Amino acid sequence: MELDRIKILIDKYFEGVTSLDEEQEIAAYFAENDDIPEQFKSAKAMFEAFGKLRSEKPSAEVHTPSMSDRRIGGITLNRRWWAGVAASVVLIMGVSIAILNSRNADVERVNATTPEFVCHINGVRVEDEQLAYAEMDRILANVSNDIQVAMVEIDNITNYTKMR
Amino acid sequence: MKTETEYIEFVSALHDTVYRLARSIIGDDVEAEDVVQDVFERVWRARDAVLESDYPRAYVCRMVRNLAIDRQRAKQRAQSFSLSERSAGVSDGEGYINTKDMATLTIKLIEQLPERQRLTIHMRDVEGYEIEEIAHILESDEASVRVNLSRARKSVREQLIKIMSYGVG
Repeated sequence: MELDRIKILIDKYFEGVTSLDEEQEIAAYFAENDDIPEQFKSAKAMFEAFGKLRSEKPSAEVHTPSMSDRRIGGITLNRRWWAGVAASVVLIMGVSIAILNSRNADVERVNATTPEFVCHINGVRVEDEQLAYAEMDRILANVSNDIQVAMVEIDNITNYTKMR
Repeated sequence: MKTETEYIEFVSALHDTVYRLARSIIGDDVEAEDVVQDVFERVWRARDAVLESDYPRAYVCRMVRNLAIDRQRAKQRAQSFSLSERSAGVSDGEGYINTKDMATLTIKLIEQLPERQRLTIHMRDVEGYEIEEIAHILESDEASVRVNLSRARKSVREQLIKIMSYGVG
């Protein structure tokens, strides 16, 4: 009885009129039965080939752009990259302030009119120490926030990858 | 615009399909991976149009098809894979072909189908797409898709039957 039905389904299959459910029924029959009539062997080989093709996957993980990316000049940059850049900028600023303070101390000895504190933030000369530290706090808070957002998004992507 | 979650779910689910479809057209793993990267960059840029279209999967697959065909043409892949060459590749030297080899042989036969037939049988029998979606990918109508599907399946079957009847070796 099953054979009669499978024969009808296979005939329909080669006419291109089976539904996806009917095609799954044929696939299940071939997967469960090794001993099949000679006339079905070519169809079985085809279904096995489809299964083999279906298991093919790319060897390398391909980056899929998302909202957590930013594009500049055609290059995609993610937030982790930005967090790295921001952290580097802050580090350079900190070192610059230390060097400038040191130089200022030397200059002070020579010229008493030089301000006690001088630094450059984004190319702007700042002599007010409180203002400079307030600006540093603001930049660090932004970097911290960016890193937190990036980590949440990385967690989301990791969860998706695990679910796949 | 839909949410990022919906977007990520959408592209994640399509990842392997895009690769296989590109590979079925180009026949090269590395080139296919390049197409995947290229396609997802384009999908991202056109995400609103893609996600809001009636057939988002078909929209992406059409992108894959166009990009892969462009690459294939640029590469000028010239292969003439004769039946005798394929058969030699699956013979065990005694004229016997086992079913595992038959599956490998079948894949090679599919690769040699005319482009529309190859894409149709791939999208239906490998990826399990509805006829309606395949019609959108191929910018065709459902009746033509069914005709191509039937021809592709029969063509592969006929060649398999010939090989099984005459044996190899």
